[in-house]
Amino acid sequence: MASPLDDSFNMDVLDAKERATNTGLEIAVGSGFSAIAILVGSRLLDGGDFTTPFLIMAGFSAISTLIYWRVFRRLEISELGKPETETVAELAVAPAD
Amino acid sequence: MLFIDSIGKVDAYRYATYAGLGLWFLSLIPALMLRSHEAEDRPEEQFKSNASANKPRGIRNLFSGISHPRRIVYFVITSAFASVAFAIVAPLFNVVLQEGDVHADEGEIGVMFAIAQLSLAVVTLTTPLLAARMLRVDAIAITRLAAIPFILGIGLLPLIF
Repeated sequence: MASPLDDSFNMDVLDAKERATNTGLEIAVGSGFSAIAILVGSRLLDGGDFTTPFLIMAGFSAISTLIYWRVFRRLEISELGKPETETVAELAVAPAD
Repeated sequence: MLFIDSIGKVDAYRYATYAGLGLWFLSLIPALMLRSHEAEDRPEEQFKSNASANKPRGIRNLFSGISHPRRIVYFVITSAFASVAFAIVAPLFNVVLQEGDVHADEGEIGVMFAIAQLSLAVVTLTTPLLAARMLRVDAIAITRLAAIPFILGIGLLPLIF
């Protein structure tokens, strides 16, 4: 759900020449950890534990989001500035360009 | 009436795979059309000559273009946590739904996944509106945190009811 905004922010705060490296590193490191997590999750489910994997999922999601928010909020304010608040009606009548 | 009821489990998987392959080939059409615009809109071109002049050798070349290492480290760390969160159970949702407390069959799981994807598609369309009204990082954090009650609900509600 957050991925369109995530991608857009990512592109804005990184230079063109480092975006591919960043994406590659994210996928490489993420895939490595995913491999371990799938193994752990499958063992838990095999043992009949259908609750702990969801608690781990919620916990890691929260940690990831809090780190992201703490680090990048300041960056967005300092580099990109706060957005001008617009209402939905204003967005609807705004010119495309 | 679901396909799996009328043609059987194995054929349903087979035709679903064929359909996926067909759609993948269709996705090549816009990808190939992008090539014609590559030369006029390719940001890599602006540093190509500079990069080739002082090109470091070996593994250092991998990271030679990085000018914001700290940002990239944080992107990678947060992405790694999110990957673990996703991978601990999401690829195994079908197992949870079939062997957990729900005891859903293949058809029911397919319908649940379809509804979930449809809901995600609709909700994702609202995220630009959020971004227009607040900082993008705030919008990202809110949309990510909004999923957590649902995750906890899937895990904990069977214990309560």
